[in-house]
Amino acid sequence: MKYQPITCVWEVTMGCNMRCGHCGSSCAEPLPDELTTAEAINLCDQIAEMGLKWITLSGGEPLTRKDIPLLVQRLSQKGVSVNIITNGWLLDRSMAEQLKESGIATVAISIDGTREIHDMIRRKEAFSHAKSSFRILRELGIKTGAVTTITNQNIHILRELKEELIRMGVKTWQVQLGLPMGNLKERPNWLLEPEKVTDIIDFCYETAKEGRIKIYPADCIGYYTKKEMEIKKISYETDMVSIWDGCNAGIRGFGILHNGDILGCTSIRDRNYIEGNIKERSLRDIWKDENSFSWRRNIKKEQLKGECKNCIYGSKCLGGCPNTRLTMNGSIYSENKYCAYNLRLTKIKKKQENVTEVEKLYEIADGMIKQGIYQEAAIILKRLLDLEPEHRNALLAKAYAEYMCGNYEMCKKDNVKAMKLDSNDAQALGGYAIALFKLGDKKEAVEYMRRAVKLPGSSKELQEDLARMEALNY
Amino acid sequence: MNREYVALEGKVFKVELLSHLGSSNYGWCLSSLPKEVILMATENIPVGGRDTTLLQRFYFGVVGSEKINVDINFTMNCWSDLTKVAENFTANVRIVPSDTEDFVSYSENETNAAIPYGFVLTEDSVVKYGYPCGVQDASLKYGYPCGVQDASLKYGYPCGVQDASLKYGYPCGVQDANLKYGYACFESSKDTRPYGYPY
Repeated sequence: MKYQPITCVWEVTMGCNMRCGHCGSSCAEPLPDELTTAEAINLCDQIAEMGLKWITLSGGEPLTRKDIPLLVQRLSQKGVSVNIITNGWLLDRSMAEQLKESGIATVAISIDGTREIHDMIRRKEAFSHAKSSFRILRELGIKTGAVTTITNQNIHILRELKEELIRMGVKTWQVQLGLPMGNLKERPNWLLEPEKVTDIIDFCYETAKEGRIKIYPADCIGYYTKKEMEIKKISYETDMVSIWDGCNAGIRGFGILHNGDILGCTSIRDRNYIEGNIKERSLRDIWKDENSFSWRRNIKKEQLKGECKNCIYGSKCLGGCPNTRLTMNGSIYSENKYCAYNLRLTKIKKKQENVTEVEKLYEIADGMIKQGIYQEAAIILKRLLDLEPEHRNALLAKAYAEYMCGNYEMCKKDNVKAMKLDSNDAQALGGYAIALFKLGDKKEAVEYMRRAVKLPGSSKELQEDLARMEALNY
Repeated sequence: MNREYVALEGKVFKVELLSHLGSSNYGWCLSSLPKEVILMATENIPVGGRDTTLLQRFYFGVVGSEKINVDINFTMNCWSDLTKVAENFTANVRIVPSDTEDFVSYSENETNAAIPYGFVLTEDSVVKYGYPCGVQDASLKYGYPCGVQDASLKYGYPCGVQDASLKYGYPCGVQDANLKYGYACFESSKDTRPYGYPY
């Protein structure tokens, strides 16, 4: 298999005993096409056979399904580690004992605020039930965690909530953004402004550093701040953490809806993103199909819009959480304004708007390039070139900075402008050739590089570039 | 002698000086450091195929921006008699204050930068964060705890910076590829190519 799934989220039912204000699935009563127990057991077997290591059972409210202990047991017996996300209403001692006996690994309880706010979002007494559930789980020695959906309703009380969770003995805490889908779509005033993402990252960092509860920002929160890396290192208890390489959907994970529909992520529920149904095809067939999950597996940075298209991290994050962009802006390719780095780029651009000293701009940008700060250098050089479009060194520097940001078309454009100033500019022609090579026009790139090495300003480095390109081309 | 550098607060930059330490016993030493800058590491690299010529590389980190223009002073001392000084060099550093969020260093074209793989939670996990797999103490090498520092720091040396500035032999991190302080070094090259493209 080209892609090995290791995890999935299964919404086992759409039935729920609450009507939460932020519910992304607008859950209410169970739907008639919900998988039967037999179908669900069969699916459990397929999940295990595919080699998944983890699964999260959610809903709706998964505990409203009478056969949930059976599903947990089947999965855990087959070696899949099972986590369940519940609102805690039905999690009394008897249920907790059943889950434990079935082999549950973790029980996560959704908590969206201190008592008053949580009950307002969910239902009266919801907080008491959740608190009682945490106590029972602790007594039975079941690993437990909290999950919080952050909206304008609760962002201001996160610190209080943290203290509450710690008092309840909760050891792990996932936080995620409330996005405009389902019930939350009807409550636009609940939605956070993009700038709040940095506040959330700061809060998670502060929490992680305190070390009293492990905090896990979900994939919709980020990206690429050093604080996130620190949070991961602390919460995962390892120094060996990697920078995020994009959404898991269709690459390392998938979602299963109540009726057996398979999709990349249970949040992206549009019919266009349903890859198949396990009542019609096997899970393995759906996963392995080369046309499945193509929206994720084949997405390229060049398809993104706005700042994301030219972002230095673009080839890594591919725009960040696709559901954030789909729900906020209607497209998985749209710019992600809920990205900390996107906010940073906006700030940098604003800062440069009024700077007019050309040589100072060049000096700073040149220094930044030498220190690997390519994106900011490119922005500063763009400002410089707005002031002085024919600044040769700035064009060459910007071309290089864009190249290092992975923006090969822009690199080409800047080098072309430099060549218009001097058609014998070996450096510009060489840079153009290399960008072309990166874009896949290898044959043409080699031709351009052959021209570059013959120019008066050529260097032995360009000769080496040519030799390398020729070796790679043939 | 002096040269100007621009350095960002919170980032690493380097100063490279040539000497004939091996033959003349004179080598560059750091003689003064402003409080805004710390010395992080040094390296001695034989250059030009001549065993006696050394490229002495000093890595500095900018830790503050109380003063924007600071000087780092070097002297060329005789290592067997430190009172003998042959040359002086000053690096005039302009510090660009950092007033915004720090982000992880990354470029898809930086060969040795922290281009990690996806965090795959399997038993034979190959989580990489700029370190070669299997190196148990990659985060603590040469005494410098790079694992928890900047993504571009590897084995105590800023690999991201290192590779960004050295392209096909042209050390663009240094202001002039041919540093001459009374010593003949590289074959002088007329063209200056500060931005060599890696691919």
